[in-house]
Amino acid sequence: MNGPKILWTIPIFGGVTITQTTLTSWIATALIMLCAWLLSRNLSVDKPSKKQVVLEKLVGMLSGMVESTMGKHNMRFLPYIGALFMSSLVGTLLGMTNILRSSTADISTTAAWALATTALCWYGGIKTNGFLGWLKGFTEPVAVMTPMNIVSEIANPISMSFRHFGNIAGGAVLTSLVYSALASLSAFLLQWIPNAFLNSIPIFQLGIPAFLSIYFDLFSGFVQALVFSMLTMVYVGSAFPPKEETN
Amino acid sequence: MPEYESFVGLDVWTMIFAWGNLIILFLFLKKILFKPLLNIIETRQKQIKDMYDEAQNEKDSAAAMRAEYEAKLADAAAQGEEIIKNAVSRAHRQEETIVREANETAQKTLKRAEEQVEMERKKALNQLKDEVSGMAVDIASAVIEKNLTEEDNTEIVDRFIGQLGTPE
Repeated sequence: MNGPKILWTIPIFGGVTITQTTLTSWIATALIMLCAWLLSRNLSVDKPSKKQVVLEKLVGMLSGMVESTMGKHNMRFLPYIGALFMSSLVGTLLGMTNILRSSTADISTTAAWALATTALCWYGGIKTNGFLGWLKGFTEPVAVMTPMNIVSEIANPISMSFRHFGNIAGGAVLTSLVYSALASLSAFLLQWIPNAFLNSIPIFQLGIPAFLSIYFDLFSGFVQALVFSMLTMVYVGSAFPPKEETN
Repeated sequence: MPEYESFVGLDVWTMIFAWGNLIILFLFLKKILFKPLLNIIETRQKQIKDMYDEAQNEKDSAAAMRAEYEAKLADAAAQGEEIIKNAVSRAHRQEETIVREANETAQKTLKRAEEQVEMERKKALNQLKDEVSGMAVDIASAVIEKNLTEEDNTEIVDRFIGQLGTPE
């Protein structure tokens, strides 16, 4: 399986590459924006429409998750977590169209998001403890642990990005393998048909991959989006402790 | 001839676009979706709280009014009872007074009537006495004039004299 196809190369800054991933990312962003805009029109306090009730339910679930994981003082991260979750979910699900390639099946995307999480954590650590206090935090609980702490700090974004990327890309690889396997199966079983057109139809590709897709795209996409957002919440939340605990 | 990125490889521009899209989406969702929606939820919660507070106030004031009215009702009932009691006792007193006065008047009248009757009787008695004694004298004189013999006269005179002689 190939990496994302480079669709265009804009000849500025030494060649800006627009890959399938970027295209999917744009489309996903635009779709989420459109949905958000359509859903959040005509909001009402006392007479909520059906779509507003659904929207409030969803946002309520997300905000409950953010509040329980990050604490009430970190509720300003709610839109960021929402944007991250929706980008991941929609970016993954767009791969099901087979026209677009899942934006999360590219390590560049997940690494960018994981690095954003790390950057937020560092910002929070420096803001809370000061730059020296943040550096000192690496030597805790004992100075011997310093290399471990640094490795863990580097390992976090790597593990996050590879987990997400690996799940989605692996699912895509597996699905394509199953597709080609089913095509071979069709060709093998249908070869007795003396018609060259009819025995070239990969009939077993119809329907069967859908079950795999339910797991690898729908379920895995949702779980990975949830896991990635949850990890971001946990890491960033611990970097921004409540005001009382700040020294 | 399409070019491909490597399957596991970082592409700077893809990363930059991923960041850009994430930041744009974050700002957009914050402005369009989360801020208005959370505002609305907060407003609604506030409204509900206000409504509950108001209802509680209404309930409290209703209870206070009820207690007040009940007290007033009890007061009115007590007052009514008092008034009736007063009226009854006054009526009793009046009744007693009236009966006593009537009795007194009746007794007075009776006494006066008895006195009058007594007076009349005495008067009549006296008159009768006078008349009877006159008549007696007349009859006596008539009898004496016609029927008395010498001996009778003597006897009467003697008895009379005897009577005179013995004081009562």
